[in-house]
Amino acid sequence: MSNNKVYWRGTEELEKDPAFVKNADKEFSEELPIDKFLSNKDLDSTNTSRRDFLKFMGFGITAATLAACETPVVKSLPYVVKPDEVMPGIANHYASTHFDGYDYASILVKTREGRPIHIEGNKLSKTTQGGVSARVNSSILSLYNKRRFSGPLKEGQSTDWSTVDGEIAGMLNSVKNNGGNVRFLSSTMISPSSAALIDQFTTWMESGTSSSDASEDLAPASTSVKHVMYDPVSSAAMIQANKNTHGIEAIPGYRFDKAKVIVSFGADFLVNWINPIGYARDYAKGRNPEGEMSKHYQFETVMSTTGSNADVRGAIRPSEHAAAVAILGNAVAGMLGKTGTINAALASDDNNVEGKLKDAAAKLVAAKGKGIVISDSNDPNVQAVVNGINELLENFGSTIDFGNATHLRKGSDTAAASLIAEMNAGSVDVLFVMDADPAYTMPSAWGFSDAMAKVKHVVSFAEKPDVTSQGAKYICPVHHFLESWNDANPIGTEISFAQPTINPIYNTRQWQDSILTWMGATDTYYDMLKRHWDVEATAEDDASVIFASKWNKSIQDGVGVMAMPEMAIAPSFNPEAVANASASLNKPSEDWEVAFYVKTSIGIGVNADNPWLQELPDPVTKVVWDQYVTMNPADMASDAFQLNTLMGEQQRAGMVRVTVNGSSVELPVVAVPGQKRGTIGIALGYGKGYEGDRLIGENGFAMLPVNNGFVQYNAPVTIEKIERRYNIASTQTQHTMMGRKILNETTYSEFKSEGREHWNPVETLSNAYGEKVTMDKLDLWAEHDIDLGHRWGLSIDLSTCIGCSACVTACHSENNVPVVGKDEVNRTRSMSWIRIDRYYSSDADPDVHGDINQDKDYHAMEVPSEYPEVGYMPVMCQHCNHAPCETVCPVAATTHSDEGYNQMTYNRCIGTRYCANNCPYKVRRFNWFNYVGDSKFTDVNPSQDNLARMVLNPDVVVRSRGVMEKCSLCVQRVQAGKLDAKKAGTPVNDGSIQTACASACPTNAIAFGDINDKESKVRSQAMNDRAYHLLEEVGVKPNVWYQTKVRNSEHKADHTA
Amino acid sequence: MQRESAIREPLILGDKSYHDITEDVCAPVEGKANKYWYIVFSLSVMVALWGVGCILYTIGRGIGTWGLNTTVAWAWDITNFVWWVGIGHAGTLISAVLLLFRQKWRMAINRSAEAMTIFAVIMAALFPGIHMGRIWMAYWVFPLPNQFGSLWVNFNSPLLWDVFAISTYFSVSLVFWYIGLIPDFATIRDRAVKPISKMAYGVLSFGWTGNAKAWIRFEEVSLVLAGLATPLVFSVHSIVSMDFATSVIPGWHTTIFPPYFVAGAIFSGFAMVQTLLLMARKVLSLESYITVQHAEYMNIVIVITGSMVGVAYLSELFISWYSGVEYEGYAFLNRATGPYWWAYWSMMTCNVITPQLFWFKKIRRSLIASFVLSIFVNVGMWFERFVIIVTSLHRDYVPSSWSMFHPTFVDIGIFLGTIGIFFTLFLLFSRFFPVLALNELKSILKSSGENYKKQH
Repeated sequence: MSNNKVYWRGTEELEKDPAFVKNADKEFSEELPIDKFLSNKDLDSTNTSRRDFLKFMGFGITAATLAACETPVVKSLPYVVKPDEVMPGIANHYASTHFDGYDYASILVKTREGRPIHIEGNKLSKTTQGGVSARVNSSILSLYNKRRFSGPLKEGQSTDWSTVDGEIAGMLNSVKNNGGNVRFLSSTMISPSSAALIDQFTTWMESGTSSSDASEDLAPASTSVKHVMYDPVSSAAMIQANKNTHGIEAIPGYRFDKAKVIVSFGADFLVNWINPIGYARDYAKGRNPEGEMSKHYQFETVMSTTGSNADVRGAIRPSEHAAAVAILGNAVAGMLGKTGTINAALASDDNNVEGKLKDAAAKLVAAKGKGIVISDSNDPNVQAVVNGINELLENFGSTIDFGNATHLRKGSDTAAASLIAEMNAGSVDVLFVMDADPAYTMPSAWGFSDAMAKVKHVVSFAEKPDVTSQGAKYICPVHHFLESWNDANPIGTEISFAQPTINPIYNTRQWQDSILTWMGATDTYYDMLKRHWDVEATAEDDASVIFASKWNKSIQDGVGVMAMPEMAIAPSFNPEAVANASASLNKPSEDWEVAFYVKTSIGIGVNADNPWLQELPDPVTKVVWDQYVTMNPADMASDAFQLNTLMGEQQRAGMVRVTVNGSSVELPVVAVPGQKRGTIGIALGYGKGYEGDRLIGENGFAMLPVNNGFVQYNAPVTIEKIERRYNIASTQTQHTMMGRKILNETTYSEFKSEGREHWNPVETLSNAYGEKVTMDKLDLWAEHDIDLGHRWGLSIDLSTCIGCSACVTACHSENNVPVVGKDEVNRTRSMSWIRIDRYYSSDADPDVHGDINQDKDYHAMEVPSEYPEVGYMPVMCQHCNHAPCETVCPVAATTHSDEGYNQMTYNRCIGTRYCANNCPYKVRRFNWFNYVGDSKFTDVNPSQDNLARMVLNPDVVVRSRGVMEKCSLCVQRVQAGKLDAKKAGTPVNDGSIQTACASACPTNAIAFGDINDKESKVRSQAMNDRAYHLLEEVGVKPNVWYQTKVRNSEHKADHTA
Repeated sequence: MQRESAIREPLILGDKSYHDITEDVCAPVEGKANKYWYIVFSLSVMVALWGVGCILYTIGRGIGTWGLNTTVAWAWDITNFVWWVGIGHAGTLISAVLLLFRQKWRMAINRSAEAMTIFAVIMAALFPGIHMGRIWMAYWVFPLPNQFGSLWVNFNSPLLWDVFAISTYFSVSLVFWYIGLIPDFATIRDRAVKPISKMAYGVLSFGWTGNAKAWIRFEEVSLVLAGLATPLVFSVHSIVSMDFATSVIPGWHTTIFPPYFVAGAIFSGFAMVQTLLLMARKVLSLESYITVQHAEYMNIVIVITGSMVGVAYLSELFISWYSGVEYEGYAFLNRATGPYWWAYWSMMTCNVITPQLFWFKKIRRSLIASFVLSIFVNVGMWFERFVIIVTSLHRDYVPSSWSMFHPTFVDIGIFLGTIGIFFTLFLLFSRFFPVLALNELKSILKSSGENYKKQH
């Protein structure tokens, strides 16, 4: 509608005043005195002359130029032609596969502007089901390891590929023509196309039809090629036993989700044994207190991460392993009415192992067909008896499935030993070593290093310097797996693919490509890989068009649309084998023994130079950056040793000299309650990583004894105390809960039979009228507007948290958490935003929920039991709605957001640390130094290294010195997720945003989401009966909920553990 | 002329005339310093420089050079801060509160006590500055207008209250002290023979003429400032105590803190005054003015405030048990029997037990005993703050985070350094400033002077 209103400039216009009308068209109705102004003589007498003007201008330009010079030079190159798929600021995710011969995971790699920066699990994988482990998600940092080989080497000297290619191809051709033995040595290889490549190479070598003009009579038939696989932590005995008892030379698939009763003899299946990520996922599914809960027995020597999660744990000597298995077997057989018992007895039983075994047997029999008995023993006889027990219980076919065999361990100890014999005989002409460091991981008894010297040509496909490559003639460095193409067949028929996520950083080449080059093939490994699956796939589908789409989808998904052909298997049980085995079980010893174990952080040492892993606290001991001897504190305090059982800031550990089979090492001793008395434990995988110039630890593999051709992971030992003391750094120095309700725990039976008030009472306080009211009724301040919009929160299920610490490294990777080194951890200055508290139970607690009137001996409560129960509790910023940190900051650098965060404004922080003091959870981390510049951290903090800093997440600022930092609930991910939803025009769906810790968790113990979303998982968990707030009585109203740990044990749980 | 009861002990001993007082007080300023002064001064300067070096090292490299950690994020820094602030309190109490109560004995000690206050507050103010992670942003604690609009200080934070409390206290103390100095500076100016010192003291004395009008105004201003300073004696340490009292940490979250801290501050301040004056009277030959009587008065204050502090300690213990709060109970039990038991028992011994000796008149009037016990109190009060800060923090709610505190050489260097700076300043003060309020002293000479009292 048009507007007919008229506006006047004044009544003059309305009344058409003649004076107004006259000047109406002029801008200024009055005459402006411009001429008068310009003719003003005073203007000429001002002081600013032309020369002055030039002076000022000159100064101004110079000052501006000088100021401009101070701007730091930022090295950044824009894309000249931007790749289609790269949008600066937007992350790309690529599916890939991690397998380093030990840890398998199907993964998603997050890349930013062409740099891989973070690894998450791939939910499409049936093997790992979207979980990752600390070792897997830390492997991204190893990509940017400056210690990697930057190009091929010949006899220690840098050279170029053409030289190496020429010489090796010539050498291979000469072997091919003149006859000889070529051997490949690797850890377990699960790549079908690599296996095909080795077959192709074998055919080529053995065909003798080389392009060179070799004479026909030089007997090419004498050329032989063999591929030997050897696992540093061997499951060879298991494969052997399966062959003996069931006629199948493989490791079966285990379904921990279907198992009602799990009995593990030493197998650390949640973090180390064969396929831990998948097992942990399945295990957690079976541990649902609201539904059905499996019962887990663990009999072991060293307190392992798995053992610490067991409902019932028995500590046994390594030499009692066979006897314990036999006692279980006898009990099961007895209950099932079978005849014939194995003659077995424990050497000493100080923690009712026999009773626990009988109990386990009863439970197994009750849940017949729904149990799993496993052992990590590398003695085929023990494994045969274990198979016998599982057979008795009819577990094969239900929870243990040969049809879905695990391919992740194929190594053979005997094959390795015979290879060494061949090498010693001088009959190996060429030895290719890939994905393995045998000179480091093989027992020194085998003498691999000496044998290697007798091989004519050793070609190492190492990624970075290792013990084997030191003795190799040629080093043909390989890509990091994130730069490589590959495929993998981890379990059953499942296939997963690895694709490069970055151009090779160094002048390296996949070993498969090297072999192809030396064979004279023009194909790359990628061509071969694709063709391999084309052939496999088109066997069923006939059109290559279909293959192209299948191939693209497989690469995109990371897991194959196609699969390995099913293998017809017919396990037939052979009771004879079990009977024979049970007759020749080892007898227990009563002398000191050592058990060699694998640590959750370092594993077998492949990534021992990864600072994230070195600084990752061991789940049980919480020690970082060091190898040590684990010993029961009661033994340490005994007259024989009189070692210091305390540990922590500047409390130096005592040291011992440990002698195994004549070779000895000197290591500090760490008190580990739960370690079987009379035994010690030493971690493998050390003696390889560095902190600066300090070689960390000693090589345990070298000390391993070999028994009947099988490498054993325990040995008799002599221990003597030495007078040296050693600084050891641990992130936790108080090990018990001191009778407080921190990690709330109950038993399954109590949980099922009693109401919440018995095992998770709602916290109440008296108000001014003496009425008991819940904490949310008592407020000093007005509530934040928490019901409006989003309210992000976490729920952590303490029942399924296994302490594996994948969340910790995921957080380091996502949030650029600095690595601070051993000395700083020793000063209690670890920077982790999420820590996993580990509590041992104590015998001293007389009461439940601290009643101050009871006479409590606090000093006794500080001491853990000799064989304690263990609980894990991840603690990060609790994002309190009444945050004590927020009120005390003088400059309001930490404030509450509209969406439930307690947020930190680094720019505003002046570093008074008052917030950290006033945090009841002690989750705030202060930047004590300039971690990206201070010389103390040059050797440890990746962000000081120009290459390693490529791993930094550009969405998260690297904090400067003097500011406070803490968990942000991955606010950058939430913002990105909200933007995605906004672009899509949908509400934020539950589960579409995950914090790094929640997404890394292999057991789904951590749930992240919007508490205000009525349908969200986190809300349903936060509202259920097991939920509670840590330190609810302080009244800070956190946005993080914990769910009471339920332990499936008979006796009433010690709440005060 | 005001008369004083004969049984009251004289406050100025010997046969002193007005001129003698002037001579005695001006002697250190006008004469040459003796050998001991130079020795002590060099020593103080060296320690001070070491401290300055440690401070610069901290600022250059980071707070990580201290022994603090994630669990114990304050230790010696805030211990020293509270200790120095507490010491400062005696000066204000002596000059303001005792002025309002017309206590004449203050006149011999108020000047140096106030100087001590100024220097102690400077030392105290140093710590909140250097303990910041980013000291170059320290000005952000002031509510300065800025271009960021809503970027403003957090008035909920006790640290901000500290900023106001300390800065107000420092300004008022400085002005009060300086006003008192003006007539005395003028006396020195009038006696000065060298042109430089004549000019310097001329400037410092603000053209004081000494006429009756000036004296009237002087008295009025003193009274007004005393009125202003008196609430500050109580407010400053109350506010400092709220750094702890308003927190949620067991052992800090205590309503008894404000009175307990004020009593503690007066206690420690008087002890420090005692320490300094017992030395000064000897070195500067002021035995006639700072007498055993003065020492006894101060010892009485010490024993009373010490007992108040002792009662506070026991109340804390009782309440921690009586509250029935698990964490609270443990915090106090841990103080007495945990890994820091030695600090707790040092505190108890030095603050509660040894000052009780002052109930004996003999000890109260023994200068040696007074000196030794005053050192005990200084040590004990340092431990009190250490105990409150470190033992509460090192084992609070979540046992997994418990830790210990280990000072580094930088922590120790800075603490000793502030003592060095403090003594450097105090020694300079004793050379260039009139250490006694000589004009005020003259006002009581005829009522409380020994000789004059005998004549009546």
